[in-house]
Amino acid sequence: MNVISRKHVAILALSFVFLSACKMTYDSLNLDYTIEESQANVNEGKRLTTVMCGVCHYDQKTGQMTGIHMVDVPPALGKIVSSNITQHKEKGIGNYTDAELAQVIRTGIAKDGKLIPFMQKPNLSDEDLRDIIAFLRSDDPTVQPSDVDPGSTELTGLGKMAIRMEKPTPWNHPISKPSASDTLAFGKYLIDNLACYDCHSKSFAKVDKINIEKSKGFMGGGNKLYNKLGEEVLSPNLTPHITGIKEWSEEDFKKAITKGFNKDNKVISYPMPLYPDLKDHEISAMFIYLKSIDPIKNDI
Amino acid sequence: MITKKNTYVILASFLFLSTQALDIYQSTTPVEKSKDEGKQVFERFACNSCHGNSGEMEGDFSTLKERFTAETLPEYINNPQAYDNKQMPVYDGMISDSEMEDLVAYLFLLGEELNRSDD
Ligand code: HEC
Ligand code: HEC
Ligand code: HEC
Repeated sequence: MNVISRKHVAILALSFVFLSACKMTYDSLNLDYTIEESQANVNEGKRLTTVMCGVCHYDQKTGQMTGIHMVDVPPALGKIVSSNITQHKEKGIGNYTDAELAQVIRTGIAKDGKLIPFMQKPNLSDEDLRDIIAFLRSDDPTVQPSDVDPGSTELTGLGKMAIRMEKPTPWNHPISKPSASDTLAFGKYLIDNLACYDCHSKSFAKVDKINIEKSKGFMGGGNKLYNKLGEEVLSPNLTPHITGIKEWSEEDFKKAITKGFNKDNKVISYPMPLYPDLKDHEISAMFIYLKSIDPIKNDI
Repeated sequence: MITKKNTYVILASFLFLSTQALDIYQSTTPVEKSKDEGKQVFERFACNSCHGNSGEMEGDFSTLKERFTAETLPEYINNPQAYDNKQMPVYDGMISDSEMEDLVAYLFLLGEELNRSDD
């Protein structure tokens, strides 16, 4: 009897059809979008870029947004390197238009059509999008043209398959930013756009980027990440359960995400980013929001 | 001539010397002791999780001695954000003075070892 049975062949054929239906490149949306430079707040753009993009694009060695090799993803997917996003024309994003930048940030479709699913922010507000783009175009030293080549992403077969499972997120416009006084909506906006939910839910493959609360095991932790020694680190549970942050005070939470020590004074290490640039009212809103979500029992 | 007495003397000295040797082997010198303790602090505070077990990963430990002294290095570790490093935990108030002393000595030692393995 053959090792490869009829059933196997059928499954293989089906997966092939399925996989070829999913793509890795997409047509540009040719958006009609330019930022109103006069209204942009470049300083706020810098702060937002630091907390939303810097964790993946800032290289401590060059002191610029020249891109890095990201080691926190499962090695089985291959090597993932973030791009140089300085203003360099060839090595950076000097040739991106406002519309192309807006497109890659909200939908994940790069200028060359390649789908970049690691950083899709479909719910990023117009205001924040404008300030980030204005900052990327500014004379700030961290985005001045640099020809540093961080290397390029090289996916394994499995990695390619994982990307094929991903889809561009929709282009919505306009999107307004929740007012800070609407604490729960504002807190959710930050947990979404700072991508806390991406790492702190069950699995990267099972998050819902459009409606983050529908992600599998939303904020309940257990996502498998890797530290710089190549050891597995599970993301902790941040839901208001006793196995999560039920007993945490706002001060504990602030110390954790700005200084890197948890409630028990244990070091919080890579790949958890630190966010010293967040403002107190933002940290407070995230904390209040997290205390309001469904508790999940998951002892990490 | 090797008399019986001589043999005893030799045997006795041999015994004496070997216990001495064992002693030296077991009780480490002060340098090695603080090296062990420095290593423990380095691991307890998860420095190795970003810097590698030999300090070979983030930053450049091989040139630490040229840029820092035993007085200024703790300032960096206690408040890396003041040095434009927003990725490293802020250790201020977490590491005791004596732990810090061992840690700093150990970091310089790692730097020397990196230099040695370079040539
Ligand atoms: C989770 C990590 C992550 C975050 C956060 C992130 N990026 Fe990226 N970004 C990447 C990776 C990885 C690539 C390259 C992927 C590839 O080459 O396959 C990339 C590529 C890009 C590109 C495409 C450049 C090119 O070569 O065409 C742009 C533009 C970009 N990022 C901008 C941003 C901006 C702006 C932000 C913040 C709003 C951001 N990124 C946040 C990981 C990230
Ligand atoms: C790149 C993935 C990633 C992102 C993005 C991320 N985290 Fe984490 N976080 C982790 C990992 C992994 C740990 C555990 C680190 C360790 O134990 O050394 C952690 C730890 C924590 C802890 C400590 C919990 C405990 O029980 O010790 C808190 C609090 C936290 N993260 C909050 C946040 C918040 C809030 C955000 C968004 C602003 C966020 N994280 C974004 C991966 C991430
Ligand atoms: C979450 C990751 C992380 C942890 C944990 C961490 N560091 Fe760092 N450390 C960094 C990064 C990133 C840099 C900046 C490297 C650079 O400038 O290129 C750095 C820089 C340094 C430097 C300066 C290096 C240089 O070449 O200028 C020293 C010294 C240092 N760390 C010591 C420590 C010690 C001691 C500990 C533990 C008590 C520690 N670090 C824990 C990430 C970390």
